[in-house]
Amino acid sequence: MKENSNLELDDGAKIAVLGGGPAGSFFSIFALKLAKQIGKDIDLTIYESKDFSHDGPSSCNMCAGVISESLVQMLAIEGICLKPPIVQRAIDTYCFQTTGGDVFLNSPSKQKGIATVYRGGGPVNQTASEAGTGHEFEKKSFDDFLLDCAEKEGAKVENTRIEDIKLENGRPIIFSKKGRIPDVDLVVGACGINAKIINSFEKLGTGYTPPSTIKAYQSEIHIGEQNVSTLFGNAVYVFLINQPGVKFAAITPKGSYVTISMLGKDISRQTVMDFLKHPEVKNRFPDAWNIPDAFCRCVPKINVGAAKHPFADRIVMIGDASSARLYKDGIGSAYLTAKAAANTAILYGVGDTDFRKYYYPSCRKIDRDNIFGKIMFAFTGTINRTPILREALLNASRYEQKQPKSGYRCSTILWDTFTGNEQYTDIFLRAFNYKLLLRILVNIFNAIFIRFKKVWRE
Amino acid sequence: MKDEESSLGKDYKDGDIIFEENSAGREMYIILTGKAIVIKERGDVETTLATLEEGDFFGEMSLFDNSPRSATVKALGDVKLLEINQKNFLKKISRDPSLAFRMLEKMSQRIRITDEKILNCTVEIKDFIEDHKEFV
Repeated sequence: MKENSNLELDDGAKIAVLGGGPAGSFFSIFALKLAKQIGKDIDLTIYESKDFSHDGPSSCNMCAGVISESLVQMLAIEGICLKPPIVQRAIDTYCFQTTGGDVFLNSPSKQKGIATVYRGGGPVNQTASEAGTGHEFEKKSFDDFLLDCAEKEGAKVENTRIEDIKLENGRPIIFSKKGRIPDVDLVVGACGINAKIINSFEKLGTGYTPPSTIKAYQSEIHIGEQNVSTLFGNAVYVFLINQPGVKFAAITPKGSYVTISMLGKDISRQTVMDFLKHPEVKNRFPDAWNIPDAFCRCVPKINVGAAKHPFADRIVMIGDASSARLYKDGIGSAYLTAKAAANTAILYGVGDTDFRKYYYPSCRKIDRDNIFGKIMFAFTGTINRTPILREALLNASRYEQKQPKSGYRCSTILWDTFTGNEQYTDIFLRAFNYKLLLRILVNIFNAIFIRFKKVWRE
Repeated sequence: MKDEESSLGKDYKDGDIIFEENSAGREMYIILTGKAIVIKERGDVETTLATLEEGDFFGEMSLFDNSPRSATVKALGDVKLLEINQKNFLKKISRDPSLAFRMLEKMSQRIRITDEKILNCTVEIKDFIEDHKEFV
């Protein structure tokens, strides 16, 4: 294999970033910063057809909108500080709700470190007062905010959809509705997995295969700002209630709305209605509250596998179109892949060999970590389906919250798994602690003993 | 929406001491909103070394050299700070060394400013000695 390609970005080189979501913006920010640092002049254009300042799914990049504590900190170190109104609610607690009770886990860093955000301008059908409360003229879309950061670094943003991509003499050529866009030296596929253009990348014959996906269901339900504060506060609620067909369900507070995120097979509007009617869920909502007939919802595809060969000469795929962490922290994966691609393109080159050597290891790292993620989530699924295990885990976590001196082994594993704060490999290895296993084992015996006692009395 | 519910990090009120000189420290801080001042006390004299603003970070020196805090940092008005502990910080840097680029850039700028200040002081002292040669 060649050490490096001869494909380097010269002064005045043109980069086309397809997609203005977090991956596209992060790539642009880091590439332009680095280019400036080494005295290279780069002409970078982001092509994004959505206007993130509008409300509703058509102007939104459709996800739960939770930014992990780890990413919040990394962005702050990079100089990208998240503040209201971009941050809709700062989270310091996760509540795990089961049919046998709940447990509240507080952030190990003892600060509000997780941010919940709107990817677009907010849910559709917002009233004028909700849309502008307190921050009438300020933007509140996280994606819009990042695009602004990219523009400040010198990126051009074109409100155009890229319709097709082809290869001509081994060089990528992109086409918008208006026609062919003048030659570019690097095409960055930051289009996610919900855009049609991803099929064009696959058809190029470079070996790129998009990642496997499943569908997620996101709905924004209005309950009013006061209710969000009183009933949900600064906590995300994860429901382990063993609802048929549901792998994961959570409620995330944002402004005067709560976002309901569900994963599973064939989740429909009815599944969401059944979820909202479940006693453990209903208890979290106001007494006289009725499920609204219409609410903002979307069914985006989410990445659950690795893309094959996410690079070629002068082409690199980043974010969801490449590798993403399983179920969690998609924006964090966008950050990692975008940064690795930007560093490669600016410092090493834009050839297949450059991306294979300097960019691909970052994707492989995420993919390898996801193997442990699958084990962790399979284990969580088993807990969700097994009442004794559920009870034991809940009691172990409750004990730790009451007796901090005993250490937060179980709590931090739950916290890191569900917040996406740590790598799955790290969490998996921590789970094999004999003290933790002993604590869970004692709680399992305890749960069995209580059941026997109950049966004996009856 | 109430900003306190959507503001990340920890709150400090005007005059709150974030950390004191010579205290042990295992955290660095990033200012999300507000200002903080860096001060050093010698005897009864308190000298303000710098005023830090939104986006600035401090406390990172102790994370690298494991030494006590080199100065006191106090909140100037209400401040919101993001706290990053040493272990998490070092983990992040070991996974992505380029994360340190901005920190190195800022630290280099600080060294340049300090160099400039030392130079100005040296020139002032030299001028003073020159002007008061007879007394010296």
